Amino acid sequence: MMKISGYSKAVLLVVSFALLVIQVYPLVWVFISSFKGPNDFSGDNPLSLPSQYTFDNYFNVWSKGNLGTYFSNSIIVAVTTIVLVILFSAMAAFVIEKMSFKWSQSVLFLFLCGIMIPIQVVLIPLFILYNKIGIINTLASLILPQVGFALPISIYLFVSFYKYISNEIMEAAVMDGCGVYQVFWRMIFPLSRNTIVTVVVMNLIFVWNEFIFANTFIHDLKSRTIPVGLMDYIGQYGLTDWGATFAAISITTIPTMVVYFMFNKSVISGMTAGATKG
Amino acid sequence: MSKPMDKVLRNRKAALVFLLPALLVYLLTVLAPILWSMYFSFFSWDGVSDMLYIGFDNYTKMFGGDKTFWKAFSNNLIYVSIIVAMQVLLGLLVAILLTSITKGRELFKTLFFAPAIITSVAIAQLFQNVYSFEPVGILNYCLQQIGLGDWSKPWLSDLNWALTAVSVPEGWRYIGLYMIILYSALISIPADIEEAARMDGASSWKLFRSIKMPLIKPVLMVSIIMATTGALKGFDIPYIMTNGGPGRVTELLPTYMYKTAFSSLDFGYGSAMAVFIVIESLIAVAFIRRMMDSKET
Repeated sequence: MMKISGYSKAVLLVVSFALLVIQVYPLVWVFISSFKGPNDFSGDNPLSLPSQYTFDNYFNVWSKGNLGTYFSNSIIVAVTTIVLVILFSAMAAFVIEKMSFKWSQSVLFLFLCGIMIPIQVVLIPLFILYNKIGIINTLASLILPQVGFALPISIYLFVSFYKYISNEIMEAAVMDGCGVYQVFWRMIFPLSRNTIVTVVVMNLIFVWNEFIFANTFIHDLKSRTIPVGLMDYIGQYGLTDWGATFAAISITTIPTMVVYFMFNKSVISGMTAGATKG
Repeated sequence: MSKPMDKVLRNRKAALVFLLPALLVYLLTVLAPILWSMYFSFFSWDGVSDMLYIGFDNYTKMFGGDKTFWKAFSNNLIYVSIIVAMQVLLGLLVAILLTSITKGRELFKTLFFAPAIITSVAIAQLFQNVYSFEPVGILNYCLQQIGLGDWSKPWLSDLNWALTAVSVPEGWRYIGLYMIILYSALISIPADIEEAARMDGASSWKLFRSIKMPLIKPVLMVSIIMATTGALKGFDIPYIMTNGGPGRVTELLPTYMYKTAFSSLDFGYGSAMAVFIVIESLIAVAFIRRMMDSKET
């Protein structure tokens, strides 16, 4: 630990507190502002507290907008994507790390290349392909590429975990008559609970917030997810309904916040590992 | 390895069953599209009429005659510099502060990281309000309060400031990520190295510069690479906040590529730009590695 003398320590504390305020205050401010009435937004002090707290913005957003539809679309996309990512990456990593598979190192390398690839490069080809096979405007067009792009880092996380599982315990299971499927499903998969949690929360946040695929492949209101739906509130020429906007942001951010504060260690370790792809 | 075990793990059919789903989705959604993009970049095509093979014409147009491309490219360099400076320098500063705090470190980390988990659309909207001139937004209001009212302006439509204004939110949201990465590097430095240097009378600054910096250099390099490649792909926030405007002052390569493909329906030219973005990222990584390595001696 760094030892710093009294005076400079005080300065450090002030600076770190100031930075924390810059980092956190805007989020708190969005939440507080979501309770403001229309008159509060016409005032000339944006930092003021609501003159009286009201839930009107929340009622308006929920009843007038399509937020309910966007919400359920986002949930379907997130759940399906994550279930597929977990299954596919856990199984593939098992083959790569534990089975005597000749090409395992090449396959791992192939997957790891994906960490470097910017999402923009696949947009045009996938748009054309999805148009051709008719899944543009369906949730499948969001799920497939997100599974693809989540696989590299998820496989990497599973492979790193499987390295720690000793062959002896698998040996014991085999002696008891387990085949390869039972070894995986009954033993390896349940053992990887911590890795599964990391992969789930990391992908939940990425998928919940995904914007480019949703903006490119979905034009139909009915299939929109939350991030694209949030754009509804940006009016033309800056005529934004700020109360509704802040209420919508608050509602749609609450799920990620809850997940984050419950699992913040897993979120941070996952995001740190996955940052290169973002 | 025992024989039955060996036999179980050599099950070829099971290996394929386990591997195929991941491999198929990955090949079809990540790897094959890159090759398609390269292929499309040699054609003139609006997605509807017949594809017309034009060789390297898209590339000669891109490098030769397209002023917007070069404008977007130079904007991208500024955008990347602002973001990398914010994320790595501020991240490092906060990481150092964090090593000197004893109480509430976990809470500090958790709160500091929070912006990273919010969708870019919400961040773009938040900053739209921060920069707002009429009604007065947070930034202009604060400037007025501290007596710098003359500085207040509509940041996003000011030709000189719009590019900086769209860069800051992206830098801001991930400072916490780099703070965490650099913090873990700093605390992994063995305490006895620091003790020994202190015994020799090294000041905090000297200790940091000549002992800690070299030790965390590999992590610093990874952070710079991550921040750079992340910023080169930057799209969401500039696209939502200004859509490249006013004029072209906030146009970046990804936003220009996106508009070329999906608004102007020029898929061939858009693909050429997409290919350029990939190559640019690869070159950036190689370049940073080179630079960091040569500094060592």
